[in-house]
Formats: sequence, C-alpha cells, structure tokens
Amino acid sequence: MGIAKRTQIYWLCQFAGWFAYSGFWLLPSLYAGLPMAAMHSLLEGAALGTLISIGWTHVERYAVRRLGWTALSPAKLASRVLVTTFVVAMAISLSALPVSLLIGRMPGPVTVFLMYRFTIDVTNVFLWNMVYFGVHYFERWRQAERDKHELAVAATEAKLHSLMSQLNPHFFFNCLNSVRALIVEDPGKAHTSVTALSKLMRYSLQSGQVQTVPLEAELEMVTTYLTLEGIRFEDRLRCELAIAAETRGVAVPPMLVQSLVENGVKHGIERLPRGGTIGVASWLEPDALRVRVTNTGQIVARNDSTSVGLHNARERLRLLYGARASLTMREDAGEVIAELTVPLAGASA
Amino acid sequence: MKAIIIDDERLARNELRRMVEAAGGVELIGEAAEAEQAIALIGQHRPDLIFLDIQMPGCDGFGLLERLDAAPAVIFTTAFDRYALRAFEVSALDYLLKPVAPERLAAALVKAAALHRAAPGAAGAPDRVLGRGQRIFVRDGDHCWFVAVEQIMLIESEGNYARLWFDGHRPVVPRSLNAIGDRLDPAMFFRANRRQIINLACIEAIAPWPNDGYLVRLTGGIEIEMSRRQARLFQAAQRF
Repeated sequence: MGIAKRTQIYWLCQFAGWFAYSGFWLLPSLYAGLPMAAMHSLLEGAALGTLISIGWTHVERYAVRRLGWTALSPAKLASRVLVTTFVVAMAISLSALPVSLLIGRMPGPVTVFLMYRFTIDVTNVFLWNMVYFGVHYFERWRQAERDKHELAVAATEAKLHSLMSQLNPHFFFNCLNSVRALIVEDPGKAHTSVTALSKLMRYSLQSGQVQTVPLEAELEMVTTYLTLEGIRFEDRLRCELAIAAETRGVAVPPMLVQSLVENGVKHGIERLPRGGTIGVASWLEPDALRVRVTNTGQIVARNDSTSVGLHNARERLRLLYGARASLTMREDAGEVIAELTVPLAGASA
Repeated sequence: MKAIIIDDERLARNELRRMVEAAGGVELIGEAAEAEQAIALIGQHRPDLIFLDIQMPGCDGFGLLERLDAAPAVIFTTAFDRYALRAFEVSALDYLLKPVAPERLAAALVKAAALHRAAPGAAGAPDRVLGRGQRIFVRDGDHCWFVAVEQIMLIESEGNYARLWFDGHRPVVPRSLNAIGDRLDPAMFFRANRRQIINLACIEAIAPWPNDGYLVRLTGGIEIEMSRRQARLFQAAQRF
C-alpha cells in the first residue's frame, strides 16, 4: 500500500471516526426533543469539540511517527501511551475552553467545565490510541506472518538446491587428467571417455531443474560415472549391479544414488591401495523402493564431507517425502552399506 | 636434477612423466604408486626433487613427507583439494593442479632448479647429517612448513615428540629429541640440557649461572639453562 493511499485512509478514518463517534453521543439529546436553538448550540459545540480533537490527535500521530513509537514493543509503548493520553486530553480540554467561552456555551463554572471535558477527552483519546496502535499492531503482525511464510518457502527452495549434490570437482579434474593421458595412450578410449564425461556433466547440471527422475536414468549416470572412475582406478575398482526390472521406472530424486556411489568410491575405493567393489542393488517392497549401495571399506568417523553429504541427502529426502523416506548407513564384514528407502506414492512437496 | 614421481594412478603418472620429459632438465629415476614404495625409492636414489600426489590410499602425501628425515624439493600435484591447498598458503611450497598446465610445470621446475643450485646435493648428503640447506617437513594441524634446518632456533623435548621453534611458530613433530639430535650438524646445534637443543647461531648472550652452568639467551629473549656438564662441553667445543 502506497504512502499516499495510507494517508488518505488515515484522514478518512480520522474524520469519519470522530464525527460518527460524536454523533453517536448526540443521539440521546436528539431523542429528548430539545428546542431548535438549544439543539443548534449543542451541535455547534460538538462539531467544534470534534474538530479540536481531530487536530490534537493528529498532532499526536505526527509526534508518534516522528518518534517511531509504532515500532515499539507493547511493554515499552504502554507507559508512553498512558502519558500521551493525558497530555493530549488536557490539550483538547484546554483548547475547548476558549472556544466554548467564545460561542457562549459555558453551562457552569470553568473548573466544572474543565473537569467534565477532561473526563470525556481522556476516554476519547484513550479509545483513539487503542484504535490507532491496534491498527498498527495488526498490520505488523500480518506483515510478520507474510514474511515468515515467504521466508519458509525461500528457505525450503534454497535448501533443496544446496542439498542437491553436484559432481565433485576432485573427480572431475582427475577424470580430465586421465582423459588427457588416454589421448596419447588409447585415443579410442579417450574418445568414449569425453562422451561419457559430457553426459554426466549434462545430467548433473540438469538435475537441479527436476524434482525426480526415473531410477533408470539415475542408474545410467551411475554406470557412466563408474566407467569413468574405472579409467582412473583401473583394476582397483570393481562393480556389481543388481537392478530389479520393475524398479526401473520408479521416480527418485536425481543425483541421490549417484552421490552415494561417489561417496563409496571416495571413501572406500580411493583409500584402499588394492581397491575394492562397489555394489548397487534395487528392489521393490510393498509401498517403497529400496536401493542399496555398498563399498569395500570401513565407515571412518570423521567430521568431514561424508557426514555432510549424508546429512544433506537425508535433509533432501525429508523435505521431499517427510518421514516416509529414509537413508541408513552401516558397516558389515568389511563393507559399508548405504540403504535408501523412497516411497512409491511420490513426493509430498 | 634427479626426480621421482609419486602418484597412485598409473595414467596420472604416465601423463606427468611425458610432460616432465618434454620440459627437460630433469632426470626421472623412478615412479611409485604408494608411500612405502616411495620411501624405499627415496632412500635408495636420494632424488633432488619429488612430484608428490597429495591424495593417496593409505598414507597421503603429507604423511609421507613427515616420515622422511630430510625433505627433498617437493612439487605437489593435486586435482582439487581446498583443505590441502589451504596448507600451502602459509609456506612457500609449490603445487600443480591436475591436469597440469605445461607453463605452470615449467615455472615450478625453474623454481626447483634454483633451489637445487642454492643447496646442491642437500638431499643426497651421504652421512645423513641434517645441516645447512636441508629442510624438514613439519605439519601442525592445518599448517605445513618446509623448515630449513638453520631456521630452527630451539628444539625442545615433549615426551616422545619434539617441539621446533622457528619464525614465531612452535609446532610439534612426531620424533624424539634424541632422534633429531643424533642427526643434527654438531657445528650448528648444541645440546644445552636434557630437554633442549639450541641453534648456536641464535645465541644472543651468555651469563654465568649457579653451579657452574650458563644462562643462554636466544634471539627473541628465550632463556635456556645450560647444565654444568654441558657448559664444560660447550666451553671445550667453542674454546670459550
């Protein structure tokens, strides 16, 4: 809402509010059937009183805005508003005195008039403050709710994006180095390696644009990746794939199985002078897909990329499927076993 | 300059060998695929320079260097490792990123050759004495140094380990004071007491100390007590 629009609404509320309020209090006199002259004088007095009130409350609004009170917490505001209420009411009462004298509407002694006016003005100004600050609080609360919601959406998106594992640069540069060696030693192999690497790069870059891919597509990339790592590690890397045919079409988050395989190579095969075996198996359960990635080696309890990668993968699953997906990691007989469960019903997000 | 290539990947070794041969000026006398093999080769051939891969299975490049008494000139090779590269920020090590750019390799070889000329045969010293021009590889957490022996001001015993004082750093190395002391050039270092070895070039002042000992003040104001027995040896050695 623009400032001009807000100011317009303020003036509308200020005038309409005050006059409606005064009119409301005049109703009983109207019913009483006063003579025309008395009625006239009463209306005149009420109108002037209302204008004075509008004036002074507007002065208060000006001061409140200058002092930035609308941003204060209720606790800090309470005492300030209380004092202000008295000051503004006093100002209205004192301003009303000469006006009443001028138009000759002074029913009793001045002190009685002042006390009478002041009691009414304090009540009025207090109500005005309640409405004024109430509106501000309501707006702040609504804005905060909106911000909170927007923040949550942005955070989820950013999180999903950052959790998406990208191809690891260590692999990428080592792979390029091997390919360069192959150009001299085995040009045919160099040729297919470049094709494989570009396929993998493209898949990795595009994975950010889709939430899920068929397991088949993911496994094709895993195979491509393992072929490339095979060039580096030669006979140190052995692979065993056992993919159930009915799992091929199941939707999975992209780069997730890939990141598990990469982890297995990085922390298993790469650390073993004699290398080891990477296994990938998939099968269906009544309402879930299971993918198991195994590698020779041990779980090294370290505070590094493994745990970060695992944590990220779990966070990603949680954001996409809630509690219905899981990822576990354990060690058994010289093998590290990562097991992924993805619900068949699809993503909840 | 005699050099050895150490990398766990055959293709990477081949690629680097071809490039080094093309660059010229270096005689490649061997290759190793892992740390044990590399240590044996270095002991046997005493190369002036090693090309060392940081990530290797078993013992990594840094671990390998820590196991060497004196480090030859090293050119590290790595594909991508921001943690390892951070270690280089503090010391004047050279490293090449794989795939290696020929001009970067040429520059690294020029640097290594200059180092070799400055301290020829340093790594190949037959008596295996740690003296001027030789360097020790030291790692302390994230930091790595190649410390020239003459840079070391003081070596202190810390149980089975020893603490080296140099240039405001005080890292601990996984070797005993005796193991280091036996290897140090006696013309440069002196054992002040059971716990400390001092660099003679770093002595600023010597004052008498109770029981016929000395109080030795080193550069930077560190004070070391020299026992009576060692003070006598010191006098004799220095004709003091």
